[in-house]
Amino acid sequence: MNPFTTALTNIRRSPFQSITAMAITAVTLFVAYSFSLMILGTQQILNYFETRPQVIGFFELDASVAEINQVSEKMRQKTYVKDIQLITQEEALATYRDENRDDPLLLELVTADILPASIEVSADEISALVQVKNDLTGLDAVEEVVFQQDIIDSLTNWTTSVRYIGIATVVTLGLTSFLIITALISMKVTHRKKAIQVMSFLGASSWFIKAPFFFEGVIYGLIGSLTGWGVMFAALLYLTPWLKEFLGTISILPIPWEVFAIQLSIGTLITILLGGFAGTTAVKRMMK
Amino acid sequence: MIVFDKVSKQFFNDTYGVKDVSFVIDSGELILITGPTGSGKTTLMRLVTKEHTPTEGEVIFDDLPLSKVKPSLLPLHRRRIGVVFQDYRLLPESNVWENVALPLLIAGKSSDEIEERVTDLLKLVKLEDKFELFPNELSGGEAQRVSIARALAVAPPVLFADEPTGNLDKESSLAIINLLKKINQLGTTVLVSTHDVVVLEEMAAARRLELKNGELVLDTQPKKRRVKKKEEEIEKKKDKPKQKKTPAKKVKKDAPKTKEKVEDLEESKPKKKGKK
Repeated sequence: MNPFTTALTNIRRSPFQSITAMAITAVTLFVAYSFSLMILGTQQILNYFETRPQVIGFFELDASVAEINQVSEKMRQKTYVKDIQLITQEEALATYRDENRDDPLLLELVTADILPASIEVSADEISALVQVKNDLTGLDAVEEVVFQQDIIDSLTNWTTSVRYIGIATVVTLGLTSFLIITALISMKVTHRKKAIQVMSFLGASSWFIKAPFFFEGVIYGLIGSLTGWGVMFAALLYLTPWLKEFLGTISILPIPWEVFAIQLSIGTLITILLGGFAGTTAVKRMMK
Repeated sequence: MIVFDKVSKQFFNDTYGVKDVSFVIDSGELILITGPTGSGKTTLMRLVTKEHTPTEGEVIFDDLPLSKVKPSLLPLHRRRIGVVFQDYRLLPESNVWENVALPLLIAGKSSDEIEERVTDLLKLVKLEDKFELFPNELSGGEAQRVSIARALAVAPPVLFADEPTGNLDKESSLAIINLLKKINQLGTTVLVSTHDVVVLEEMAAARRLELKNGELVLDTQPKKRRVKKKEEEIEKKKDKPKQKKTPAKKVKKDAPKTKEKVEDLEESKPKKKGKK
């Protein structure tokens, strides 16, 4: 009987212990996979906001075209300004109409002269945004400045928090899985103590004795990882319509299959190693 | 084959498993190791299998001092000694066939070789029709015969039977004794540790080592160590002025022999199979 078959037999002979080991590994991996997608998602949202026009200045309604061009020209001369886009009242109306094309009443009420022209300014670095904001606020033709730095700061904090909470949770659950697999396999090793002694007397190498327990841990890791990923994927599919609505114009769904492939490969590899290590740790303690 | 050179195994302050035991066992001998419970019979076996290491002295197996056997080579050393236990120690979840095949699997033999060897062994112990039974379905005598077949699986040069008839009735004991004698006649060195009167009567002609409180009190046919003769020759040569050698050179001359033996053991490691 090869070690892999022996491992499968060991699993079959103690189904409840084996299911416990697989379940805790699956929970750990479900949380790990979910957090990794959340971290990726929040990072994408952060990138989205960082690549948008970061400071928007709204002109007075009576600002002339010459004044608007003057402001644009002044801002363009700043070394820290990356890009400038002018939105005229007509363009603002076109955008408004596009966004509200399903509501004729709103379209009838609004004309170009009640929508302000605006200037959207991007900076080379986020740190320059405050300066851009101050520049625009100091200009007479500009009535209001919308500055997204606070949103970005808030998102950055959020992403960092999600990352730390995720890492802490996954590490805790990973450690718990490792200890549970080690404890369960230790029980089986204790049960087979005499058989191990006999094999040792018959000249079995250390690997011959350890291999079935190593593979048992590997199987727990593998099945736990695949189950955890499967549940996470099903949950994502279920939540996709809600998430799309929630995220609006931020387009991060559907997630490319390459991301899933990388996620599943890394997760499975780690849990296989974790399970295998737990199995050999358990038997090593007994062989001492 | 097996040399005990002033071997002592101390467990606690004044508790000895064996104490200052010396004897030589030649290849192909049939040896009875006798003595009451606690006299050191099992300790002797454990010293040969290197489950215990001597506190003093040296155990030499096939000209190789066991102190030179590295832990990584221990499994290979143990494959050269078949061990039969009083309580059989068969794997309960494996059937007769699987129990006998286990040492061959451990040694990495091919399935054809395992098939052939297990069939032969089950014929030898007359259990060929019970190969599918599990240990709990066997009688004590049958279980012990399976244990003997398992111990012989990799054709070890030495078979150590520790109280093999301890749990058996007279009829089964006689069958086991006859089997052990037959195995010895086929060329295997057989050591039987026992205090069973039936065994002692049936194997009266065999050489007997008697232990008491860990000390060897009787050796019915003491043997001299062959290596000793070589050492004596060296000593004689040393006496002649022209051939006198320094102790350092003597050590150097002896050293390769041990080295060769360790290398032999390493060579007997199963080679990794190449791709088919």
